[in-house]
Amino acid sequence: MSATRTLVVLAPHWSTVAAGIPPDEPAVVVFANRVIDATPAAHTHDVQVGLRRREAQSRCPALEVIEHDPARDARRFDPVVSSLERLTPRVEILQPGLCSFPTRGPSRFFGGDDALAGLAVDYAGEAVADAIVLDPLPPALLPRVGVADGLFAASLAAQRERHGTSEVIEPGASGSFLCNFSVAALVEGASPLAGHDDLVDVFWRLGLRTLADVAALTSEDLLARFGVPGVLAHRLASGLDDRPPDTRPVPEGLAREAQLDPPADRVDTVAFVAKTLADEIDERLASNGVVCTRLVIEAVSENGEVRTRVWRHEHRFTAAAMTDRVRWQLDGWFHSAQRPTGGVVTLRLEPDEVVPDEGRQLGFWGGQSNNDERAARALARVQGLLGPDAVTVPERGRGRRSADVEKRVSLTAVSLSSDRPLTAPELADAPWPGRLPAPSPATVFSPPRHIEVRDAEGGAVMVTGRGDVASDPVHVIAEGARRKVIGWAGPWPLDERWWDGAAHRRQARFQVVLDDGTAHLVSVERGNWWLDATYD
Amino acid sequence: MATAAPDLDELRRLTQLTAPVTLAREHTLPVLEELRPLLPERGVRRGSTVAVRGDGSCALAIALTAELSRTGGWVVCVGVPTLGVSAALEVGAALERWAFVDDPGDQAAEVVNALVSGVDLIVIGPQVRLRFTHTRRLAARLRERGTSVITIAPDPSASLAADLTIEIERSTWTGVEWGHGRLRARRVEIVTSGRGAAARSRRLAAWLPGPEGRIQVIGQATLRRPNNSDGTDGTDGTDNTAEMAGATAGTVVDLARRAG
Repeated sequence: MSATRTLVVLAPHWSTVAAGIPPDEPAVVVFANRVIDATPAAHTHDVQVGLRRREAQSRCPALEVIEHDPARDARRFDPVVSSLERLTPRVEILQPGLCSFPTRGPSRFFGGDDALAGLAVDYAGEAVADAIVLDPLPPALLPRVGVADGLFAASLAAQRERHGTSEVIEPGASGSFLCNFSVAALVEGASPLAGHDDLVDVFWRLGLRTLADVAALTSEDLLARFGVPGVLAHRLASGLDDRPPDTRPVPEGLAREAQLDPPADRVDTVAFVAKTLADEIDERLASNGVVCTRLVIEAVSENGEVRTRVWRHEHRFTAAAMTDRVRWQLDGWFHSAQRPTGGVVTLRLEPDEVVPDEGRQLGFWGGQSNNDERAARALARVQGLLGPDAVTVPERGRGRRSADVEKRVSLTAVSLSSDRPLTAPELADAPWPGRLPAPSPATVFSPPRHIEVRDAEGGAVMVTGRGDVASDPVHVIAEGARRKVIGWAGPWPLDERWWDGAAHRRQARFQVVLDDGTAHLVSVERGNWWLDATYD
Repeated sequence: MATAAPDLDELRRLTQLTAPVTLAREHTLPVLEELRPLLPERGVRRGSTVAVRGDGSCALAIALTAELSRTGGWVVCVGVPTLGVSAALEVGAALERWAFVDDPGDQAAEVVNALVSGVDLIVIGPQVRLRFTHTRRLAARLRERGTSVITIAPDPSASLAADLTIEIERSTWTGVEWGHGRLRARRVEIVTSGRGAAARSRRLAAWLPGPEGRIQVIGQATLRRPNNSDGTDGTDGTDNTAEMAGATAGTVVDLARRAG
């Protein structure tokens, strides 16, 4: 089966452009502490994609560091897609900064692949120039266009091409075009193998250095040794279409539509509806044994304006990924020049291309399991009831006092699907001299509660500057109730962050056991006593 | 070369290992080995409600959830804003699969209802109040979905009816003296009661935690039928459990008197 002739438009350094950084300023976009995009100016300082943030900053001290924001990237990319819609209505967005469309129809209409590619460069270039308010656009930011048989070859052609012109690979020549690329190209960009770095690593160590080496093997051998990813690698390296030949006809009745009444003029409101639709579609897809790889999202405003976009995913659309695309699309629409004049009344999600679900081996003990998805859905429902910040997940902070260690972060700030570390690894085993040893209290009060601690004469118990107790604690008064102390230990003085006036804490901690059998952690700071925690 | 005669003992052992005995276990949530003597079914039965009361109820509730979160189950705490994360880590809980809904307000029933379909265990704090009409519906849904609930010091009139009540009657900390030492261990006496398999009230002594930091049930005595013939129920030291429990109680009293 021959590959679909495809045109790919790549907007270079897109994350930095979307963040509004001029190309002559050194800046990087980071995600999970790694550089994922850098401006051309940063490249001249030898700052490369993949560096750690600290390393990048040490190479270029003036570097500006921007956090990754996929929603911003997608929103700013919308005008670029709109500009290409003058060529064809079927523009697929692979990821913000990268889109593609099949060239068969438009190429015939505009006079050949070369002419079409030239137009694509011009149109996309104008849109990018508008986005960053720079005219003319510096060569490093000019959109790169590649045309070839199949998406993979076309995107490699776009990546290779450098100066705002286009690279057109003749029909049937994609195989020979690909053969000189390194196997590392298999996992770059929007490749369906993205994330299989270990596969490329094994190829490399087996002596398979170029795509030609991989293509020379038989597909059966690769299947036997590497499974589905191996076959996919073979297809890509041979210049065949990246889609397996058994792309199924889309089953009937997968599309879902919702009417919004009253019309929604906020992205969040539409996204909330989209979540429900996406969940339904996900369920139907699963019952048909297929996964969706291409999704059409259509939104109609109350005055009849329509915005339709085709989104492609390299693996599969989960319900959350579908909702994200809806949010990005509407965000882009609401902020674009052709923004709707009224609220959104109709939202339609339609899976456009499905492939058989290869299945996924769920973790047997821990790891990625079905449980996590179910729990995430249930927690999202609670967020819908009580507000996004009502659900928190625990995180271990750093410090000596219980209140510093016990942290909660809002569920919106973390991703449950990834392997979420509770502590930064370098801090997990860091010694905190002065931290109280186990057992830790099961009830921690944040903020601590005010109490009074009295000695035998009824006066307040004081701790001297040298950390000595002036008199033994005999009574504890909390919320009007007085309890007798039957055992106490301490004081354990704590004098931390004396170098920082605002954060300076100087306190002494005690463990007290009261006559009702309860044990508590109390502390005294500037003459005031606090109940920090209870060993409940 | 002669074939070795089949080792009958070994075969019997293998039969035991391969026998389909996991059926009952599938209906319970896993619990730390040390806590199993507390529970009549050696685990928290799916769909059931366990009430924990008394000093140390938070620590015990955390301990009951630890094994579940470690084996991939999800735990959500509703209305327990003060729960200590470090204490949970010390009993081996996997906090990656914990979440908190600190303040459900007056929507507690809706929150629990939403959680039932997605999580394995819900811990409900003492401040959470549920209306009677809600509790009946919730209990039915819990049984249907197999989600269990642990309530900490619940108000019986405004919470789910407990299938099993674990009451900590007497708790004594050791390690802290008058002006020196530190908290090291807590010895508690636990009385369990409930419905169905838990109907027989039992009294147990336990370390919560013990001197080595481990939680352990150290002895048990049946209240109603002291000459209990159910040998399979016991732990390692069950041969003189009644005496042990008696000795424990004595020790507790001694410690309390000395400390006072």
